[in-house]
Amino acid sequence: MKQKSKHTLKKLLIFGIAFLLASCSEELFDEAIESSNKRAIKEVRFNELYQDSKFKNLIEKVSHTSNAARTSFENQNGFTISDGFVKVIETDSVISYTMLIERDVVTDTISFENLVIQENKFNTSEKAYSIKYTPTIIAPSGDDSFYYEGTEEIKNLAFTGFNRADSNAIETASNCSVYIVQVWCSKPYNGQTKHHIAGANCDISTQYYKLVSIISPDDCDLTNSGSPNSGTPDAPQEPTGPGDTGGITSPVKPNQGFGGSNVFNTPCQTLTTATNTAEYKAKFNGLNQPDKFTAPQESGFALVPNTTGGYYNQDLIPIGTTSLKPPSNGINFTHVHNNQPTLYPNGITIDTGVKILSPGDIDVLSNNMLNNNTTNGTFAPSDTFAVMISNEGIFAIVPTVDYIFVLKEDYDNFDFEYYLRSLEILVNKRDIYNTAEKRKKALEKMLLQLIDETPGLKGKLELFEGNASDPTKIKWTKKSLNSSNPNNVDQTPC
Amino acid sequence: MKKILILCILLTVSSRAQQITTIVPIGEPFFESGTYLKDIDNTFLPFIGTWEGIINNKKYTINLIKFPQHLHNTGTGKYYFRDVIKGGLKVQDLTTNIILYDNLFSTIYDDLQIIGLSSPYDRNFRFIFRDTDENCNNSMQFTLQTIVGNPNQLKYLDFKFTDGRSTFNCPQYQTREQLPRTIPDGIFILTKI
Repeated sequence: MKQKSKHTLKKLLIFGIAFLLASCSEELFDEAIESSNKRAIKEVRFNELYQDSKFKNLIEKVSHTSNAARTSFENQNGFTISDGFVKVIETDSVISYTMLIERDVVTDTISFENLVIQENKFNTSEKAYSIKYTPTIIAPSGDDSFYYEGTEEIKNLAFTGFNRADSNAIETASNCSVYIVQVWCSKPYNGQTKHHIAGANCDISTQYYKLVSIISPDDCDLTNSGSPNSGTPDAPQEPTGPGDTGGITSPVKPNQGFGGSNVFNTPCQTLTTATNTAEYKAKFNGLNQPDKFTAPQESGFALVPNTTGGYYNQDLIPIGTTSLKPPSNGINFTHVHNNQPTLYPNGITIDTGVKILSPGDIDVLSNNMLNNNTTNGTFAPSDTFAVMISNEGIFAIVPTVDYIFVLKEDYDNFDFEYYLRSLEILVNKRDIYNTAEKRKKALEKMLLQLIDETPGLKGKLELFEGNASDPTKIKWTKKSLNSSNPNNVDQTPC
Repeated sequence: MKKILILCILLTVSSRAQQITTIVPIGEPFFESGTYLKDIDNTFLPFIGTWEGIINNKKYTINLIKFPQHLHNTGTGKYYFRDVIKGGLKVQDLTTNIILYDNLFSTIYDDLQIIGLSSPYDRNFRFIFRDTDENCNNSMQFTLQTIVGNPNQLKYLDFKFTDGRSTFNCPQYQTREQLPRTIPDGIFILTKI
């Protein structure tokens, strides 16, 4: 009898656990759905998003190709899709992808252009168009986003696979203009209550739709007096809601480039341009010397404004053995990570200097210099970079966004893991990482993985390795974690 | 029975959520999500305990505790477990008898500001000390070294500042040199109490 009741209890226990686990799973599933609805907008790197079959199918429909390299579609339309962030907006009925495109022929340096691809969830019909934004005001805001005022112009793209049915066309608001829904954000930033373009960090509670009338030369009625290029299209009849338009987007702007607020450069271009001026090279070569590597203190310089409205590279003052005092008005900086010979009780001396950019460097880059460049308007955010020179490698970090914010606990963890893992590579596992090349490879992978593990930094910094063997030119190679195997580091020469 | 049932469910659910997939020796710099970095060889053992020493007329007491299998959630989808050694600190000015700093016997993980950098090498164990908000979260490193033939003593040495973010968000101090130095820059002996 006792044995039987034990069996019954056991069965009950197993059934109970199975039932509760099933309930828990269902709850988790429901929560996942709910949270995906809450997160109406997200930003994902193009290459990462390309792993998603839905997005990949859409792109392949456009390009009739199975890879994300420049396609016949891009050739046909004379642009390249940027490999930066794609804004993904999901509503109950549509999913829209907005990505930056770069024209082969640049007619001006003020405007920027987006490709928008959109799928209707219910009938799986797609539409695609490009929007050219010409800002009169553009300023950084919270949520890694920006405030924008200006004019927009929409263009239908010449390709097959999309815009086939009239029902998929964007609603024409009036002659020469159509309506598009933009997602905006009312979340206050630094005490400012000005609304801005919604980024992925905008809470759902502060997101809202804004109906925008956009110039559309394709929709001009030639009998009408309105001119597509006049900038003053006829006043459209305002729709009652986003469902009336068919087009939903949130602008994706480029980072701005070295030396001018209107030149848009990639981090590769920024680094290559900024580090190959005669003045920079002279200062760089002065640091890239054995006596600087063996000096008891770090050395470096930062680009700062001078008193006559120009800029110069100012030498930095060392603090202790491994720190430099950053200037409050710096634009970018270059410095040496010196050797740190450490004598162990067994009589072995090991160099514990970490020959890659440190959390402190990234902190100065993001909290100090990126903020300066984002807010002062003279230099652009992508002018910001940090270069590290050592006897075992040259590295640089460039931000890919205008604003970086890392919570204290996340930064502390990043800082701790950086020193912990680098010490393991340099000291405890020195028999494995026993050459400069092996240490360099291990440290670059470590840093890329740590950036990828740190909320607030993930996807917002690019790492480059420099080659200064040619005295006339520093060559840079982008290093990134392989998207399908993060244990491998991909190399892309600039 | 009900309690046992709930306990079983909780254990099953929690182990399902954050499961150890691999165990590797502590000190592995590259590892997958779900890995447990374990102090398999008990390398922390000679450092665990309460240690006391005097330098520059100040008494420093350090209490080092092991937190086995501590869960780290990166917040970006990766998690792992690691054996961690952390410590509390008490600093007393022997001239005035004033306690300058004291969180010696805190057992709350996040409150302990001394943390071991993974694993010791050749009798040396490197630690980071991260100061309070009032002291601008200034961070510094030091080494504790075991002494051959004397397990009741440790040598404190190799103080240096970690290049951290602290100085730059700390308007009350112009330079990092002006920040209070809670742990000493010098060499001295700590004795187990």
